[in-house]
Amino acid sequence: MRKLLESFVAGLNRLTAKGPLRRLRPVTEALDEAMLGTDKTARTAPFIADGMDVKRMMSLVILGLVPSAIAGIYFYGWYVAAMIATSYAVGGMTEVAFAMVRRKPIHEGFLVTGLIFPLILPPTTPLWVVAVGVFFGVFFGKEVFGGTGRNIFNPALVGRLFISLAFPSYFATMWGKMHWGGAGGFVHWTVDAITQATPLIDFKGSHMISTDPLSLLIGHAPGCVGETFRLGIILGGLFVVVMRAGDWRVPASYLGSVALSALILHGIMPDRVAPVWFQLLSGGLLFGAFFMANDPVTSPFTFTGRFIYGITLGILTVLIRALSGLPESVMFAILLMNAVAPLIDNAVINAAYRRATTRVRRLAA
Amino acid sequence: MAGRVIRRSFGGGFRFRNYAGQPASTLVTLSVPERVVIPMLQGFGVPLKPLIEPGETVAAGQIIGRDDTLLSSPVHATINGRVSEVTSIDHVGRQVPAVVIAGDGTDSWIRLEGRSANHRDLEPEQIEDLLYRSGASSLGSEGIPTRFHTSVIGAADVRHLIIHLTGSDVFSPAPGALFTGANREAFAAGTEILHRVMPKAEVHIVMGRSEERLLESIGDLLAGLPSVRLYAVEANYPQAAPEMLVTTILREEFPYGHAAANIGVVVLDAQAVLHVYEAVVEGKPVIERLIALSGPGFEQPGHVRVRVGTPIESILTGRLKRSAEVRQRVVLDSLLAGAGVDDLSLPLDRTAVQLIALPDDDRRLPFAFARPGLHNDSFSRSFVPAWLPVGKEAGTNRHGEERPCIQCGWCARVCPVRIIPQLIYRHARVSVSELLVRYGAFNCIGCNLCSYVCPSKIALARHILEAKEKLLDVGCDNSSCIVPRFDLKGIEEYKGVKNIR
Repeated sequence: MRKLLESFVAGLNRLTAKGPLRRLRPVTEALDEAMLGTDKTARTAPFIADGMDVKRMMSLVILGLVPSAIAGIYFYGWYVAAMIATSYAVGGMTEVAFAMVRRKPIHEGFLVTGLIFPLILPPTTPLWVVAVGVFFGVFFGKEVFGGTGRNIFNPALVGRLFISLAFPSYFATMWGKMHWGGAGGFVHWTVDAITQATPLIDFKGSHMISTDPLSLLIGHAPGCVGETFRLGIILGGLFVVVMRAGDWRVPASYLGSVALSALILHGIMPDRVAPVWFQLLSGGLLFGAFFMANDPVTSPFTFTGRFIYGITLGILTVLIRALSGLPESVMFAILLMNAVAPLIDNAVINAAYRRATTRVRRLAA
Repeated sequence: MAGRVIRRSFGGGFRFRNYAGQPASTLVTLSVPERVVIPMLQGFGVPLKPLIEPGETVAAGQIIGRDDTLLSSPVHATINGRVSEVTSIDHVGRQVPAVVIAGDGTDSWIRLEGRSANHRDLEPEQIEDLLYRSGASSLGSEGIPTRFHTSVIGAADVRHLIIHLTGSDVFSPAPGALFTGANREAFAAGTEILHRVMPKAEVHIVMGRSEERLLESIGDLLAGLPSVRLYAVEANYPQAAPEMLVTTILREEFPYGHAAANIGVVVLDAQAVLHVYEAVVEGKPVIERLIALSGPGFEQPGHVRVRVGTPIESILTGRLKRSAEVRQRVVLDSLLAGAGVDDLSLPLDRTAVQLIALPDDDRRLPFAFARPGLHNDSFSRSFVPAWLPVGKEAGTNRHGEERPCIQCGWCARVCPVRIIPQLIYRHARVSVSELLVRYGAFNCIGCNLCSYVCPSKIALARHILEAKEKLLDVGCDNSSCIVPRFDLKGIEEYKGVKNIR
């Protein structure tokens, strides 16, 4: 088995060693590293290394997303699988193209972006729109900033924002009627009808709540592909946090802040602001809090900054939902806060330094 | 103070638990080596000039390097024999003169004059004299202060004496091997002796939490010393670093970038105290050292008593596991912050604590990222040992390829001095500016934990070290920030010894 793998990889490497396929070197290198593991050893201290690497970290996040993806297929049919495949293919090609141009190794980040992106789209989004969106997200959201670790905005959200502005109709009306009971979407290609509005759109229109907490938890309410099966999102999100592939501070402070601001504002404006349980369980909040706001690259890295970021996100989410013309706000809140994340970090670091120097001066005086 | 054990811990750090290959409490005294290489710099101080010529006959315990005008402690011949060569070796990262002695195989040694079976009969000056002539005064992070210019501060400047045996590293010597026979009494007497040299110092004895009973029994023996305090600490790396001992035990701020001695703190390990006892009561210079042989690379991890200057290869011979698949990597003292031993003919000096052998594991593991990792240690909880009590295996494999920083924050979560290593790394790549001081580059104590946990496999600690050096090159240090806060003593002298600009 191992021999087979090794000879396969060796063959791939020979193929791109020279000649016309030389440009594909990053691809075979990435496959080589992923399939066979590393042979690098520590030459200087520390002589041991943590077992974790970026590949495993991304794999853990993908594992955390699996319940949402499977639920998406169950609710909306195998078309969702086609969306995911499209997203991976186009997103992967964009990443590979950049790795080839830059002559740098392929980074694993697109594996998460490529899965998250279709999960935050309406279930009837045409495949070509998925392709355009993921290309836009990876290209303008990540690569033009310099690639992995340098992007300011979450690439998947950049792609979604682009689609929601360029093709607004898919977000306004094309919410599919989900399959329910029995084999569900596992025996269907796609949804049968495009009628229902999401609970958040209902609330925006009529100030009435059209669903109940249990339906929201198990996903029996229309929404984006991956955001409806909230029980799975919570379990997957906790898995990621417990595994330490994601930080607990952002989701905890984001959700806590939504709950608190909804509690206060619902008391003041019960018509405009939905109650706490509905705020927490509707729309893309849980998915956004666990898998998008918590993206380490685009959120603050200082611990205090992460709390500030999460709390502000919560307030923004509740305010935009209540006071703007938009039914859902998680995407805008996160993109807005992505933009100020470096500012938050700077402020936190400067404040800590000021505290330290004032103490020095006091002690010296 | 007996019976009162104070528990302490610090935030950050990392607990290396359940590693296979911990040294057993066994102790074997190795036969006297045929040949020793004596570095003329051992412990704290500057390198000395050898006082002997090739061809001269020397005896174990004979002083072969001494200069009372320099900040130093004497260096001894450690076996009986003839000087075959005076050379220069690569030792503690610099070229140091060294004396090679061909031994005659006899195991006698010269006792120090002026020792006393009852140290209370001796005056402090006589004790200092014995400590100096035995070489014990060079032990500890910055030496033991005596009248002989052995540390950057004087004995009267010492406010605190910290004696530690924390076992917080991946592999640590077993306390059971150190405290055999009458060594508890010897340790207590050694502590008393040190207290007589540094009468103003409060004494703090720090051990791992698993050694509370040992700590209590030592506390009972030291009941006569009112200034002794006992501490049990978490085995949280890098608890044994002087910076972490000062902040967790004394709850004082540390002048990062300087030494514990600069604020009047002397930090010694437990074995140094035994050397103090041996010097004063038995008249034995520091010619022997108890070394732990740790790690999965040894057939039987345990402890050996060896003469100082014994070449590492003669200790390893017959004790390393032989494997056709993988070479063993040998590391001195610590897997996290120790030095790799590339030349096995180099000797152990009087500060050596342990030799660690682990597989230099360049074997590739297919789909390593997707495996449950039966024996992997990690800051994450995604490997089996995080959930089940299975032994972890140490190896030098990096477990991944280097990738750009994704700001996951692990480095900041484990950093014991609470800086953000990735921030300094990313900034230093772009420019070397005073901002790095603001980010706390000088606070880095070089524990290497950030490099250990980094999932992107970035050598953060090394980059921070390089950034510090570049900052010093442009004449920027943190003295403006920290000096006013502290009453620092002997800074320039410390920098001179440590070759810091």
